[in-house]
Amino acid sequence: MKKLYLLTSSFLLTLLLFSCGDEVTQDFTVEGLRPVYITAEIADSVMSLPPQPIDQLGKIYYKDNLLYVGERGQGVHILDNTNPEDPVRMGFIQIPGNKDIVIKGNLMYADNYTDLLTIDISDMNDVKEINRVENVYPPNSHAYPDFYTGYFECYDPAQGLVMRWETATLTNPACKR
Amino acid sequence: MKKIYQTIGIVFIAAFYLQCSVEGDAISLSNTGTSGSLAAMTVVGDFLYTLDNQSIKVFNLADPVEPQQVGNTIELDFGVETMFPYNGLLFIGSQTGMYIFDIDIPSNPRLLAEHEHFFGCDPVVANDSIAFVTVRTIEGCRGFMDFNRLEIVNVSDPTQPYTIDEFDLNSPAGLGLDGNHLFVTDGDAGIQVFDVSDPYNASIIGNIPVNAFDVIPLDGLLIAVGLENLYQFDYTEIHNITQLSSLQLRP
Repeated sequence: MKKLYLLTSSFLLTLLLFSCGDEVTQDFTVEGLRPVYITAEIADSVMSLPPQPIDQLGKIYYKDNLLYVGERGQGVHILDNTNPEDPVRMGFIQIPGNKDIVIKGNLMYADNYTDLLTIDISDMNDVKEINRVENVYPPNSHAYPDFYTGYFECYDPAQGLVMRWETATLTNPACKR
Repeated sequence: MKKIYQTIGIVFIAAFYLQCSVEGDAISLSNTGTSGSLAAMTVVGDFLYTLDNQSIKVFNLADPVEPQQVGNTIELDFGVETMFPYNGLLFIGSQTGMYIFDIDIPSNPRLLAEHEHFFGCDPVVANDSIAFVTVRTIEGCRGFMDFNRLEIVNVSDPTQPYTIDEFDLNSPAGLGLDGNHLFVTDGDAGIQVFDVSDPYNASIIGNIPVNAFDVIPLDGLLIAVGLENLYQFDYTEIHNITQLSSLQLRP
């Protein structure tokens, strides 16, 4: 009897695990995120651009009446916020893979995939990367979406670096957070 | 057992209630700006701190163009996400709790405490300083654990932090503190406005009905960011908060 009980409970336990999505026996679809890839050649191109459309906003930073609003994985929108009733879109700093910035004087520090950049922003219309510290961030930093809970399509390094994550209907996603 | 709850999205800020009035000269940040609460990078004096999912690195900015890493990389449990410096301390938000580091020696952060979530409250004592922490969770496989809440943590002795109060919320994420007022972005439930003049008897005194995930309060101006929109509010009259602008940034 004891053995039967053990067998039964392990069967039930297995069922429970299956129901958790650890394994699936038939297709299931679910809303989630999937990576949008960027090729290695342009992954380190930092530059000033005219105002860009919004896709997914990220972190915010404020200094000297300027508002820096992250565009997840792509860079930073710059807004002149002298009049908060009418913020003016000044431009965009493209920083692929970016999540965070901080500014000291006329220098912006920013992550660019695995690297830490120093960017001269004294001329906002013509910013320049002036230093790069390599391998500050681990390569897995972009393997999953930040501040997100739910299913996502697993990162495939063969396809390049993850620029951002877009919503999609996923079939049998193997990754969850 | 705690780990099975799969907590995510811990952010926090700290408020220090000093006995005497001291002007805010704690950190000389005149040359830097203000981050939202989700920041994972910060400058304190001439040092830059970076946070990835599992470690802290410290860079000396003596030559501001070329940051030089100093000290050892500090390894943490996987899942650290946010960083907030205050008055010689560095607070790190992780998926399981909050780390507190002493950065009196900026190049050598020293771990003072790790405050894990889901512990019961300790006895209440008089407070000098408080940290506010948001905890947001997902549905775990082993039961639908619901720990969406604001925690108010006494950190007057940063080696012995403890929770003094908790508020169940909808989906709390970013938060910002200005004096007696705390703003907590709470997903579909809007931005909750707390009076925390007495952190032991904090209460919700207002709500701003926009879906945002981070805020910066700047002396009467509240900047709030949602996935597709940037909002600004005037909160100089806390019971009569007015919207200044809504910048729908999609084309």
